[in-house]
Amino acid sequence: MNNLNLLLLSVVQIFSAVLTGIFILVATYKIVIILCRKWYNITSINTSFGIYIACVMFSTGVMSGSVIDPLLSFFRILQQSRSSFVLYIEYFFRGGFFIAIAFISALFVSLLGTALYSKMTPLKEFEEIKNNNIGVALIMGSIIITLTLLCRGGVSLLLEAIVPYPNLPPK
Amino acid sequence: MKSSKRNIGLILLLLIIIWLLGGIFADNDEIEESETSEIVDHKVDTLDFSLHYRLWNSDQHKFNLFYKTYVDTASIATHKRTLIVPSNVVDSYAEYWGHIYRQLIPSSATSVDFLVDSILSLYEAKEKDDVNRAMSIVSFVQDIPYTLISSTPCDGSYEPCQGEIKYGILSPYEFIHTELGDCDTRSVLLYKLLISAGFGTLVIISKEYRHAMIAVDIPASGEYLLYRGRKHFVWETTATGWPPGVLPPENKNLNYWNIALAYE
Repeated sequence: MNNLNLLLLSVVQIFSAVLTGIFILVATYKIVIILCRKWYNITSINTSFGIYIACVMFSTGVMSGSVIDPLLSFFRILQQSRSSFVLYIEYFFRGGFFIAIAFISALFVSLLGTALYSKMTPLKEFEEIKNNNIGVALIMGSIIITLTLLCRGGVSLLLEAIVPYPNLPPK
Repeated sequence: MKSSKRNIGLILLLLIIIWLLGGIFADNDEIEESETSEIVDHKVDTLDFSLHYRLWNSDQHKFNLFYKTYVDTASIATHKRTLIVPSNVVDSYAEYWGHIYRQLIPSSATSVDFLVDSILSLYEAKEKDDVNRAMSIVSFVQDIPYTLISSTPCDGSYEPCQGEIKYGILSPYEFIHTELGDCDTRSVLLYKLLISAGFGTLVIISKEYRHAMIAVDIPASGEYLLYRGRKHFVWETTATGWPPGVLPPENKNLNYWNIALAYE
């Protein structure tokens, strides 16, 4: 019986990770394309822009990965009080909410970070990316990844704060 | 037609979001009170013994149990506790407390093994699930309300509190007799109960978090400590609803947890 529960948990984890991973990456790609077309008039994907998009997608994936631990804790706590069917439905919807928070945080960090950096320097980074300046794309990508790694702990903490842990007596 | 379908979709999405937010920000205390309003635990004290009636939930099952403890046995346990001598050759915080905990393990005179048989007999014969068997024992202790046990007089910073108890811990028999216990008191009792039930169990403590827990060798998932090459999943003992493998967020760094008491 225990092994069945563990098996179900692992299947749920793998399935939800793959599904949400694909969804997140596709959504990130489309959003970045749309925003860069709207704000910076970047209409074609050259090498530089490809590098930039890849870094945003990577940072989104890394940030969304911080969802896993809080989500699993949440599932284990729900398992105490819910029947299987209700459990999986609730896990699906609430898990989606957690992932949405991580996804929005990742996009926010990536796009705001690069927009601010672009404003602070005399160089027009997105113009350079449009002109296929690979060096600038690499620098922007490094900034995005660094900011994501710095903020990842905070997002994980935010998600932990909304997991409905049972109360503990104060120490 | 398209716009009405879109509106219906938006309304459904809004309802789902409201439901999610309502669930996430719901007050857990209120939910627990409405579910437990019918639960009544009793304790009747006489000169010679105490009768205990406990009613608790474990994994969507309800359990109830009557048991009896004796005043003179509790006195023997108290006397034994006062004779405990801490080790003066210790390398660490965990070893110091492990030495004390080991001396608290009951002898046959103050045995608590009767509780293991009583709790496990509440399960039907077909329920051989290891995790649920362990959970029935752990949830029995989690359900007992928390009382701070202090080696110094209680200063009113936390109630209920039992002060001037040597080493700030009660022995397992004293705990089940008085139903007063904090994290290490509960952990030592559960160590004894789970070992008697056949589960490899550890008492783990943290100097940084000033807290104690158990870690149990069961087929679970989550946070664990390795002992003898086997995963022992951490288990919070001071409140209901904590499953194995889930550390409270404020105690999440496993590097701060050390084994104080282990089985041979």
